[in-house]
This record gives sequence, C-alpha cells and structure tokens, in this order.
Amino acid sequence: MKRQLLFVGIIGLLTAMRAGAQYDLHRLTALYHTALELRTLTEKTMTDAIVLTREIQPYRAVRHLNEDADRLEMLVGHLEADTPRDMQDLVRTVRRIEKLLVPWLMEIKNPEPGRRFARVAAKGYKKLAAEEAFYLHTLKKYLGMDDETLADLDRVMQFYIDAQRGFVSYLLKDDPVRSVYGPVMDLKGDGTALFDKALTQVRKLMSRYSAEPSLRKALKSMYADLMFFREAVQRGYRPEVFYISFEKFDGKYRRFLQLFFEKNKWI
Amino acid sequence: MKKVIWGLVMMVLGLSPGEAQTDMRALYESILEMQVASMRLSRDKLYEIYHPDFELLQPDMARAISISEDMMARITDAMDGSEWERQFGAVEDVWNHLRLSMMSPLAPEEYTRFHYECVTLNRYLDVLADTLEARLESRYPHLDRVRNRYALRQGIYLVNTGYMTRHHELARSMQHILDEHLPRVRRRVEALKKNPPPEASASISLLAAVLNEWNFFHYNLSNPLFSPEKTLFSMANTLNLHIYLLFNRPQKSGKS
Repeated sequence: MKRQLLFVGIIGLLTAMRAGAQYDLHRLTALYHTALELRTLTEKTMTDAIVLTREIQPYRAVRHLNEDADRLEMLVGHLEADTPRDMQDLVRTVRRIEKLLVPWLMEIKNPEPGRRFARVAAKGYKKLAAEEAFYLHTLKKYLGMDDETLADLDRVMQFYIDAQRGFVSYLLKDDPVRSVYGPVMDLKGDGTALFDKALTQVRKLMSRYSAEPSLRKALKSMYADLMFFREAVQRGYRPEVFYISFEKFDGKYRRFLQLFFEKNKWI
Repeated sequence: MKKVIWGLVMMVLGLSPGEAQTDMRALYESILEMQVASMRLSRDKLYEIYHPDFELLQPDMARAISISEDMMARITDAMDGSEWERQFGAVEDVWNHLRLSMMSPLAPEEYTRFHYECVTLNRYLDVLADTLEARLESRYPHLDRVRNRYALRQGIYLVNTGYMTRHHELARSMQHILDEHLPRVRRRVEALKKNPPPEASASISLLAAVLNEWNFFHYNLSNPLFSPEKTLFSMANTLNLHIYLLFNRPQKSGKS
C-alpha cells in the first residue's frame, strides 16, 4: 500500500513539474481574449473617427470615440502586464503596439474631413492593425487548440471586422477620401459583399455553437442585425439612422465575445 | 415576505432595491415609448404609400426608427439573461422582422400585414409592461397615469392612421381603426382637461397649447373643405411633442 501511494505521489509530482514548465493555458487564452478585443476595438475606433468626419450623430460619435480610445489604452495596459516576460516576440509586439497607439489616438481624437486627416489616420491604423494581428497570430500557436476551434476564433474576429468595414464602405461610397482608406481597410463596393461575408461567418459559428442557448441567442441576434445592415446598404438607407443600429450591434458583439470565452470555459 | 425576498435577490445582484426599482421604472417607460414609436412607424409607412414625396416623411421615419432602435436595445438589454427572456424573447424577433420590412416602400396590401405586425409587437410590449407594473406599483402608486399619457400619444398616431385607412382603399380589417381609437383619445383629452395631473398643471400654457392643437386636429378629421392628410401628419407630431414636453419638462437647476 505504501509503495502504491509513493508511486502515485511521484507520478503526481512529475505531472505538476511538467505542467509548470509549460505556459499557463488558461492565462494565455485570457490574454488572447484581451488581444481579440483590442483588435476589434481598433477597427471600431477607426469607424468612430470616420463617422465623425461625416458629422453623423456627432454627439454620440464623439462620446463613443472617447470611450473607445480610453478602453484601447486600458486593453494595451492589460496586454503589457499579462504577457509572459519570457515570450520575447509577444513582449516586443506589445511595446510596438503601445508606441503606435498613443500618437494614433491623439490624431484621431480630432477628426476632420479631408485627405490630410485621412492619410494620417489610415497610416497609423495600418501599422497598428498589422501589429495587433501579428500578436494574435503568434499567441494562437501557444493556445494548444485544435484547428477547427482556432478557425472559429478567427471567424469570431473576422465577422465583426467585416461588418465594420462594410459600414465604412457604405459611408464612404461616394467620398473622395475613400481612395485613402480603401486599400488599407479593404473596403468593397457599398459594403454589401462585406456584410455577406460576415453573415457567412456567423452562420458557420451558429452551426457549431447553437447547442448553447445563450450563444445561439447572441449569434441569432447579431445575424438579424447583419441582415438588416445588408438590406440597409443595398437600399441606400440613411447612415444617420443606420449608425444607431450599428452602435447597438457593437454592444451585442462585446457581450458575445465575453460569453463565447466564458461558455467555452477559456476564461 | 415577497419584498424581503426581492430585496435579498437584489442584494445578491449588488443592487439596492431602490436602484433596481429605478432601473425597472426606466425600462417601463422605454417599453411604453417603444409602443408609441411602433404606431408612429406604422403611420409613416402608410403615408409613404400615398404621399411618397412629402418632405416631412423621411426625416420623421428616420427619427422614429432611431427612437425604436434605442428603446429596443434598452428593452432587450434589460431582458438579457433575465427571467423574462423566455417569455418575451419573441419581442426581438418581431422587431427584427419589422425593421426589415420598414426599409422598402410597401404596397397597400403589404401595409396591412405591416400594421398588424406593429400591433403584435405592441401587444407583447403591453404584457411586458403589465408584468413590470405589477412589480413597480408598490413604489410608484400612479403608474396608470404614466401609462395613460403614453396611450394618449399612441392613440393620436392611431387616429391619424385610422383617418388614412378610412379615406383610402385598404383592407376591410383596417376600416375600424378610426372608430375604435378616436373616442378613446377624445376621452383621454377630456380627462386631461378636467383633471390635469400635477406635472401638466405646472405648465398651463403648454397644456392650453395641447388642448388647442387637439381641437384643430379633431376639426381637421372632418374638414370638408380640403384634404387635410398632410396637416394631420404635422399636427399629430406637434401634439405628440407637446404632450411629451408637458410631462417631461427640463428641471430648473436653481431655486430662484
């Protein structure tokens, strides 16, 4: 009996030592959640600034821009604090993000119509988005998830980004500054194609996660929103009205993101 | 005993019972405001059929949709994860369907369905408002007055819709709207005149304006001299705004 207990104890000790040598997966997944929020919020902040240059719902748009900018800084702070020090590539990327974020936010907090602002904002956005994407890409390798789950994580991010870009495509449909934002943000036509893409991603997510009632409900609700946006751009709905709905969609997405990670027991 | 349990639940949720009741009161008014907005949308869609180039129409529709989006977001956010979600989750589905139908002009036969979808949404919201009212009545004893003033605003849009359906060839099921709602609105205006609630008597001039506007609106419903459709549209909006202001005047900050 004593021998058996000793054996079990040694095995347990070895397992614990091995786990300690690896990264804490739970912590890394939480970090991924933060980075995903950062990436999608950068996209949203860019949209906020473009909305402001078009003077659509200016009071709401200013409030959102300021709130989003504050949250971005907070999220980068979290990333900096939580990225394991021995993951040098990630640590360096966070530093680069921080360095790019502050001047970009200073610039876009005072948006103005015209090409000068558009050039500065788009340039900063391009660099920032690339670094954020690199961070996510690098971190993903450490998560130890199967390919299908990793693809789902991409879908969760991509449908939101496509929706934001669909909206911006619509806003800038006939605007001369479109040529500045277009190549950087991958804008397409009046946004219909991007909303279609987003709808496809959500449909795939629904097929995978509809067993969980809260996720099904959240996805269904966002799917209905995306359908509405798609119809709205196709029929040339006024952006002033569209923006209110779009703002609500963002709130739903933030809640969904939290729920998605919680229900999968990742955070 | 019920109150104690409710208080304990709220404590666990990190809210004081007072705070929770205040939130529920705000939700209650959002539901009622959404009911007004849905009837306004129905009225606007009807005008879109017969007066598509009316200059006030598109801005009004945009305003009504903005209000609806705001109110629906408040309602669905409040229901999210709550005990009501299963019971009233369909509200969101009906709204999603409605807002899709709203985007393109409707043919008269499509309008009938649209109007009854608005009515369905309204009924759901009615039941939700009843449920909330039962919880709030201990703290707010005069909720019926609140509901009445929203019902008055809703009724004005319905009378406007009823006038249009009476004078245009629409489904038979829509011919009764005017007869059904005009007496109700008239009774509510009479009650407002005879026994104005404290908020309303605080602004006599606004109350007088509302009563005057109602007289003018009412007169135009049977005006034989010219077609008052556009006048009724503007009057319904003015009346609504003034009734809203009558009960929601901005508070003065100073005591002087």
